[in-house]
This record gives sequence, structure tokens and C-alpha cells, in this order.
Amino acid sequence: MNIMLYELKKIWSWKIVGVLIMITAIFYQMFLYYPIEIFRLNHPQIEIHDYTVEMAEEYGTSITGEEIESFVSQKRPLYEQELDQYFEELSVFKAAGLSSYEEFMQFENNLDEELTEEDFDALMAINSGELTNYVAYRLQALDYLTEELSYVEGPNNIMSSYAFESTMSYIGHLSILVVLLSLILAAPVVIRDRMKNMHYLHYTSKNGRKIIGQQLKAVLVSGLILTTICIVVFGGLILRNDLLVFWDSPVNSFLNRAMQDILFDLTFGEYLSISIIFIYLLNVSVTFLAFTLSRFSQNMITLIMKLVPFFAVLTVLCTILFARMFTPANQFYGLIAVDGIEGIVLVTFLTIATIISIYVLKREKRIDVL
Amino acid sequence: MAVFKYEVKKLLSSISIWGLLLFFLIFNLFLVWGTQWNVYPEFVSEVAETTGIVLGDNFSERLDTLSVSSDEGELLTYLKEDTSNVVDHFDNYDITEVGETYIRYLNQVYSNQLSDTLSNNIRNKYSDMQKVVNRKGEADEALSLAHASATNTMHENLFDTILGWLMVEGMILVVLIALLSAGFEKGNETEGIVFTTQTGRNVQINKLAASVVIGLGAYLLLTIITLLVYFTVHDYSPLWQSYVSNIFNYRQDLIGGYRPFVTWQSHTVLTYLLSKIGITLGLLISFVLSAFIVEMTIRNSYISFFVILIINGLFVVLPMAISLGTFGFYLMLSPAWLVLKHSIWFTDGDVDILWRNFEMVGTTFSLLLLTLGAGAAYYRFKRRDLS
Repeated sequence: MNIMLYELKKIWSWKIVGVLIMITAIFYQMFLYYPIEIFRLNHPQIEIHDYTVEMAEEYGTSITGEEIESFVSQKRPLYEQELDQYFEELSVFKAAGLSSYEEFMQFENNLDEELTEEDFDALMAINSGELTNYVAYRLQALDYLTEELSYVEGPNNIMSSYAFESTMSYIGHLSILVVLLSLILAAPVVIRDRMKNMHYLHYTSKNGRKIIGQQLKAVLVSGLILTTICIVVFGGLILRNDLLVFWDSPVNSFLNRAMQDILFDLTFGEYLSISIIFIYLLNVSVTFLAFTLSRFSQNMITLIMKLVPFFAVLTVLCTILFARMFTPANQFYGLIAVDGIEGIVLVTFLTIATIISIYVLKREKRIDVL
Repeated sequence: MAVFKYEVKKLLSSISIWGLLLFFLIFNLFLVWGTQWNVYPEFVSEVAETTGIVLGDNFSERLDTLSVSSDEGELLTYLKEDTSNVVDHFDNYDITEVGETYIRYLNQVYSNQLSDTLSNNIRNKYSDMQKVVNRKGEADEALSLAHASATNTMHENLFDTILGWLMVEGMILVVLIALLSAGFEKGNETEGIVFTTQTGRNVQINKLAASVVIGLGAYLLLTIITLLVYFTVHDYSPLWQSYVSNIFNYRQDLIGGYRPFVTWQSHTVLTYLLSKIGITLGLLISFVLSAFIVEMTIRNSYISFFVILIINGLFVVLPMAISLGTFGFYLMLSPAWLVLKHSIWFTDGDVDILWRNFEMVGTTFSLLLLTLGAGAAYYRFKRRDLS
């Protein structure tokens, strides 16, 4: 146990932790920032999402066509009235000669004519939404719900497509981050000692050649800790997008038609949980393989030269894995049409990584060090 | 000289470098395979051997008299539609409007606090660009066939996708080669022997030179093989002298909108390709220098690689994360941003580019600064206690 604790201390050195934090910060800003900070700035997607949240809170996990019609018909007059008030009050619309939303709709449908500066300003005022409290987008979202009614036959599930798509894209990027951080953490463990010929000293100790097994355990534990930290921190951030309300909602919904062909009957909560399990499986496989690459490298730079293509392949794997998971649109399913192929691929990857690691451990026990 | 040769030999004998080169080459071959999207560009290239590449009445006459197989009849019709009644879009084109649009946008971003100096920089740049546009209009430069309506896709395939990925691969290669060379003695614990020789710590200069030669050599090898395959798949031989600023080529940005692709110089496809490779070589030398500076300072190859990644990452994300004011514009001249903006090299740039020929300005500035930095790092390294 002492040896494993010392190995953990070596793995989590302040230099490596500093590198991990900086890379995480940069990766967050580049790829994870938008689903969190910009989520509420996409119109009318956010309005449709807000309606879906309201429907889920009011009606539970499913809704009928009549309930949707009632939902829409309650809200529409209020928003039209609010928008008409803006048209009466704001000078930007008066200058364009528009006094009601109906007149604006007619004006927008005849946009072939050359626009005056006042017409342009009126269009910008509606499209930017700030002056009118985004009411036009709320009406647009109601129009969308009315259009989607045609896909509802009997009760249908309530699931926000915007929340689902942005969450799954976020999870895809998070998996790439976890893989990258695991590689940075796990890769230098063995090679650091071998470059200083420390392994000769280790082999003469009471622990002997079992030390490499201890190092593998330490790397595995470190990887799991790292993955857990990432999932807790970044998972907590994405939950701010009102995701918990859909936890028990099935992912296939008239509002989330991309997932209507899903091969398993899964709720959003189950889908997320499986995604998290997949990230852990990926992390364990990557840790094993990084450890193996480290054993067979002469120095740190030749190790990185092996890690670069390895990381490139893993990025592609993560991107394919989490895109339309468990649907016929997933590229793994396109290659081998087996239900749950994504899980099979990961388990196979883990099995291969484990076998290789066990082989390396056993080989280390027999190999002649001279 | 002998030490330099041995350093070069050391790098050439590294199997990992060759392995990484091979991986990048295989990836590039996939990219080239992915650029085969349509037979029309190949047809245009074939036709250009007969018709020439200058659009106009002569071109249309030769096209009318061209006989093709029945399979290619439809393609010939497309080409006639593409090339009939062409209008030089540089005639009466007012590019200064783009500059005014950018100034309006920046005024919004900076809450009308954009300095007069910056506004004037942009106005002067577009005023100069207007002269270039007028010159191109007089010379009918835009009436160049290229790949007709497939030009933009083919331009993006070659100059954005293929050359862009070659740039990224070159960056990774040169940084790793430089770190391998600079950190070799420490990693193998031969510093005590090497630094006590007559050459001593001056061996780092030989290592730097070897890294530049091998790094650039690796990039050029990768580029030549990739482009050989690309030009075997897509025959450009009749089209090398087509101007890249032609009526079929355009660019689109969020602020400036859809507009013609205009270069400062009258670049043909060939000169544009060679110019891009030339600037890339300059940028790669910058990355070699930065790798040397970091390795001589930190003296841990593994951490050095990630420090270089973090520094370049910070250059990229800082302007996105916080308002840097005028400094943000200068960051666009950093090697990281030049690589990201490679698709608009030799053009007027976009909203955050204040200077003409920004790619040359940025590369030269980076090389100068990093050479000074490498000199300072080497000076410190020579006097440092390495125990």
C-alpha cells in the first residue's frame, strides 16, 4: 500500500497538476464554454427549450396533441398583445410605418423590395430581440410547436431537442478532454523510472518486479479519480441548462425527432448514465494503453510521438461514439448493424487494453534485464 | 560541422520520427481521397488544355467548337453556362465598404471607444486595397477560368484543408524534433560528458541548427509526397497560371459577408501555393525556436511540450475570453493565430487584422522576437548550474 501511495504522489506532482489545470482551462474555453455560457443566447431554440421545460413540469413525461394545442392557444394571444404594444410604443417601428405584428408579418413576406434604412432598423430590432424582450422568438417557438403537432399521435414524450443535442455534443467533448488528461497523467509513469535506470534498483528490492503492477494500479486509480473530478465539475456545470426536469423523459420525442429511431427504450437519465459509464470505460482502456506505450518508449519525446497518433485516433473514436448513440445513424452501427454496437466496441477496446497490460506485466516478470 | 552532422544523424535515426511521419502521411492520403467529390473540376481542367484559361470571346468560341463524348455533354453545358457573359467583378467594386463595415462592428464591440488610430489603420488598409482592386479590374485578372464554378471548393480543398493540416502536422513535428534534440543529453544523462568537451554547451547551437534542418526537411517531405498524390488525383497542369482572385472564387465572413477573394499580389495558383509553403516554413522555424527556449528554460522535455501547447493555447483563447483592447489585434500576429487564419493569408484579412501582408509581418516579427528569446535562453543556459 505504501508503494502505491508513493507512486500516486509521483503521478500527481505539482508540475503535472499545473499542466492538467491549464489544459483543462484552455479546452473548456475552446470547446465546453458554448453549451454552458451561450446556451441561453440561441433564439428561438431557447424559447422552444423553455416551452419544453414548462410542458414537462406541467404534464410530466408525455403530452397529447390536445394538450399541446391548449398550451399554445393559452400563450399566443398574450405574446401577440405584448408585441403589438411594442409596435405601438417603439419609435423604430413607427419610423418604418409598422403599427402591429400582423403588419410586420406582411412586410417580412414582401422583402423583395429594396429596404430603406428604417425598414432595416425595424427588421434588426425584431431579429436582435433585445428591444422587444424576444417576444417574436417566443411566437416563432409556438409556431414550431404547432408544426410539430402533426407528428403527435396520441401521447408523446416530452424531450427538448436543443438540450439533448447540446448535452451530447458537450459529453463528446468532455470524453476527449478526459482522454487527453488521462494520457498526460498516465503516460510518464514507467518511462520516468526507466530513463534513470531506477527499475534495476526496484527489481532488487523485496517488492521486486511486482513494482510495475503497483504502478499500473496507481495509474488506474489516478485515472478514475481524474475522470470523477471531470464528470462532477463539468457535469455540474451543464446541469444548469434545466436538464434534470427531463431525467425520466424518454429521449425519443416529437420534439427530438433525431432520436426517434433509437434502438432501446431509454430515458434521458439512463442515456446520460450510460454515457458516463462509457467515459469511465474509455478512461480505463486509455490508461492501460498509455501505460503500455510508456513501457516501450526510450524517452519522453518518443513517448509523445506515439501518443499524438494515439490521441488522434481516440478523438475520432469519441466523436463517433457519442454521436447519435444507439441509433442507426451512429457510424459504428453503419459499419456493423448490431444493437448496442457502441458498448460492444468499448468493451472490446477495454478487453484488448487489459490483455495487453497483463501481457506486459507478465513479460516484465520474466524478461532478462541485461 | 562534425557535431552538426552527428546531431542530424541522431535525429534521422529516430524511428519514432519516421513513424509519426508515416502516420501523418496516411492521414493526408485519406484527406486527398476525401477531396474527390465531383468529376466537373477534372473536366474543366481537361477542357482548359484546349481553350486556355482566359475567359472572354476567344474562350467561348473555342468552347463552342469543342467536341466531347456523350457522357461529358452535360458537363460541357454547365461549363458554357458558367463562362458565358462573365462580368469582371472588380469593375466598380468598392472594397472600402468592407472596411467601413468592420469599423462599425468594432465600434459596437468597443462601445464607440475605438481609437482613431485603429480606425485610420483599417481605412488606410482598405484604401490601399481599393487601388489593388482597380489594378486587377484594369488587367481583367478576374477573368480567369480556374475550375469554373467548382473553384471555391477546389481552392478550399487544396489551400485550406490540405495545406492547413500539413501546417498543423509540421508544427507538431518540428516541436517534437526540437525537444528531442535539445533534451537528448539530459534525458540520457550524458550532459556531464558532453558539456565538459571542447564544444561544451555550444552543442545546443548545433542541435538548434539540426532541428531546423530536420524539422523543415520532415515538413517538406510530407508536403511534397502529399501534394504529389493530390496533383496526381487532380490534374492542375493547365491551371497553374489561373489567378486565385477570379470571378468564381469568394470568401465569406460573419461581419464582412460574401465577397470576392482578393489578394494583395497577383497570385496565380502556383505562386499562391509556393507563397503559402514559404510562410509556413517561416512559422515552423518560429516553433522550433520556441521549443528551444522552453526546453533550455524548463529542462524537462515532457513538461516543455505541454508548456508550448499551453502558451499557444492561451494566445488563442485569451482574445475570446477577455477584452484585450488594442493588444488583441497584436495577438493576431502570433504564430498560433497566423496558423488559424491561414485561409486568409495574402488577402485583406478580416475584422481583427489591421495591417496589409499581416502574415509576413507576423512571421517576421515572431522570428525576430523568438531569435532574441532563443539567444537570451541560450545565454542563461550557458551560465546556469546544471547540477
